[in-house]
Amino acid sequence: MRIRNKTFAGGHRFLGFAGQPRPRVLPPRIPERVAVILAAPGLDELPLRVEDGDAVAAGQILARDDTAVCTPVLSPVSGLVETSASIPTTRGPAKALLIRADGSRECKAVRGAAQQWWDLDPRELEELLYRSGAAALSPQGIPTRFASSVLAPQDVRHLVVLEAHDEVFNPDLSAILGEREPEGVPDRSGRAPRGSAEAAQGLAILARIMPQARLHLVFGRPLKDAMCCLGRACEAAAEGSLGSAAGEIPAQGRLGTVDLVAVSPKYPAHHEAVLLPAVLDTALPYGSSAAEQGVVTLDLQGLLQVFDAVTRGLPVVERIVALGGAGFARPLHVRTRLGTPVGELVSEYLDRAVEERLVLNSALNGAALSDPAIPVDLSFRTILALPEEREEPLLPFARPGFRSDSYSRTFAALAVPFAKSADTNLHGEHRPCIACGYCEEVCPVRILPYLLHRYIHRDIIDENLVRFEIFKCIDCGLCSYVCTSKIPLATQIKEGKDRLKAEGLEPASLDAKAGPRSGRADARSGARS
Amino acid sequence: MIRKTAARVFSGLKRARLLRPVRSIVETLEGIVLGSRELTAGAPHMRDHIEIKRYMSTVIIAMLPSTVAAIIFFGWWAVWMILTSYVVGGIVEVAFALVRKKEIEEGFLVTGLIFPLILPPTTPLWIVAVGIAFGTMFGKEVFGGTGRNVFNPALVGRVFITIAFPEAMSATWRAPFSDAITTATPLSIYRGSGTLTPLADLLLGQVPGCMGEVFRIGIILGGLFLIATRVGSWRTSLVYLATVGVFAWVGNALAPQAFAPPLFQLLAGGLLFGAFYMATDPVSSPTTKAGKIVFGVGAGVLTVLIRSFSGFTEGVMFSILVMNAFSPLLDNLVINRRYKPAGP
Repeated sequence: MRIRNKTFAGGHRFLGFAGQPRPRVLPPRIPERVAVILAAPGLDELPLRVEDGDAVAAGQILARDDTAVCTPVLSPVSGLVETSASIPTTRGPAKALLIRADGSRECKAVRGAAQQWWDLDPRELEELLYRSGAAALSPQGIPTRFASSVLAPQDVRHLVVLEAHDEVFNPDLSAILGEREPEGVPDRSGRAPRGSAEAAQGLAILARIMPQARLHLVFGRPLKDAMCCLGRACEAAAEGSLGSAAGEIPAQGRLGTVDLVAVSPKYPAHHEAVLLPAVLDTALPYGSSAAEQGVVTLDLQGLLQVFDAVTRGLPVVERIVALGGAGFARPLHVRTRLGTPVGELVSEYLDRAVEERLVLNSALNGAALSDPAIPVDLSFRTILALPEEREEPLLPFARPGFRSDSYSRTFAALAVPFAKSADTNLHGEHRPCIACGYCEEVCPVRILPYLLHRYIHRDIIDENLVRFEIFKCIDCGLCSYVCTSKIPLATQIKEGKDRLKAEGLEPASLDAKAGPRSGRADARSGARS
Repeated sequence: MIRKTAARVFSGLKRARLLRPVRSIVETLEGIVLGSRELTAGAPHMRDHIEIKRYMSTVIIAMLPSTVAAIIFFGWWAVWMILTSYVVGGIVEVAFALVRKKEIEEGFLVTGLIFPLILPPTTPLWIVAVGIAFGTMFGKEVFGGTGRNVFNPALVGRVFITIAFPEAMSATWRAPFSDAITTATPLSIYRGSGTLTPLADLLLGQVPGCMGEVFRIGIILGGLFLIATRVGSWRTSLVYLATVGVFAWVGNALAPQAFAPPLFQLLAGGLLFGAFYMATDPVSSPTTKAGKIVFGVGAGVLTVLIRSFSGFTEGVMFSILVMNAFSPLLDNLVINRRYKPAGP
């Protein structure tokens, strides 16, 4: 098994923060009411197939449109359709269908699923993925002939299973894989644990419908164990073994070569603009997206859900979400139905003594989950509860800083094994730029944030910003994070970009994105353009 | 407990009507004693713990070996010089802060310490006062304060008193642990007679020189500490030193009567102190990486040239100031090279 090591310039490694989610997954609790988003903000709704008052089963398709780029909308619970309403999401209010759950855990299985999936032909596999909602598991949409992605299945050049482990808080893979074992613990007998074998089969299924795709497992370096496990499972799947003996699976169900990549776990390794050049040696042209480069990514959990959908007909109605951060009394993982309001999901795990800020996925560029009514969707990986630290520390500059993370190496946290603190305090006062150069050093796309700041700060919004490649910015937020003078560089750069767009100074290659096939519908939220 | 009391005291002080005219001083003191209670406004929700006070105090920690050595070598006079510099520099800083109604900026903590350390140990206190006042005012405040100054303020003060009081600034020196006045530093001895001071003496500081520059082992350790903490730029310091080494080596091989040998050049005079603590000042040196390298090369070449051919025996101060002046231009060249300007 050969593992390629890859890294990239810039970035910052967030290591050893207090409040990491423990490797335990709590079983789902059926919420009283779920909200199913019918259209992302600003996009058209899909045609509904149910009416108010209808009884629906979990996994039943509520809306679909096989011609527009979108995936079907499934009911995550069994119950009654109440009404459609505008609900808050991280990107503004969106139209949603409210469903009152009847409390049952049953799911409507998708017909046509088969344990021996290799007996199905690719068209049947595509249909299973589409009808189970699994096509929405990739941010690019898993391509099928039902326009579930801007890509067609044969256009996919790279299929990437991505667990970069680059955020402050990351889902624990041993929890996600271990949960699949009957007794709840991964097998340590040397055989690949069941979860790994299933993930390898999931990959084989996707490879079958995307024949041109090269397969990659891209894991953050700290996940090397999980990666080796998965690598072994892939080798077994390539020999046609289901775990015990080789040759159980016929040739068409065997996995091809899988490229194993251990990526440096620096934030933002998971971002397509960083990942593609570093791992796939594919340049991402100015203003292009991963999908346009023929790249489809999904996470390990998604891969397992693909397996479940095809072999057991399980519709994608649940998601394992990691809870991380010192604002949680019990940081762990919860399995939850999609559409569950965030407030209801996290309330019993929060630390009552702490005022906290809930943030989605990333402490650096994640959206604040300011409204408890925001429903869980497939983009949820981690919910962070960061304490709102309002207490000013005494003599902060003279403290050794045993728990202080910094890009500079001026804190004792470098040398001691204590868990670092992650909170929302600014940790300093606003000052003019002293040109320390940290923002340039961490920038993963090699632009000069301080230079852009100088212009935007003085309200000079002109072609110079475009010349300084402001549109290369991926909004990762690292420049703001490291700034010694606490200048909100990322916010200013975003503002600069927005104003340039308003003035029509956006580079041409970005406009080209609005071409016929790339209506950039968000496949996840099931909306069409 | 202490924290809560301090917080209460400061909120009381800020409300006091009597203290309103000096509010910026109260706020500065509060900023030193108590950290930030401000929260991030949105993404990124979390911030690095580094801030200007810690950045500047790291520089001061790096200069501690030199400072302690200066006090041990040159006695109480060193303490008086440092205190004078802080008090007078502080007064100028506070005066400008009050006029501008802004907080006092932390950079002066570094300038106030660097300045006495680059003076001869016999400097009269009134000259120290004049120098730091001039440096702070014309090196920094007239440009608009920290972050906007073109030149290193300590060097502006130093160059002013060098020109205004040449006698006091270059004729009298003292060796460590001795009251004897000499007229010769290792560089001027070499200039005069071609005699090289033993390198071990240079390293341990057993030679006359400016207060902070003589204990060179301490400077090297402090400088490496600065680079290790990412507060000082290795590009500036190491390229500067490497250029001096290479240029002196080549020059010494070709024209030994003009160029001193490289190791002697590296260890003599204020080169180490300048390269580690003054050339790396982020504000007055280039910001771009390539600019820093050109800065280091330029300062190195100038230092060797001034030492070898000018009327001055030491060239570090002038080299850094000259390169400070070129810094904005260097950054501009680098940026325009990287991002092609739009057509005319």
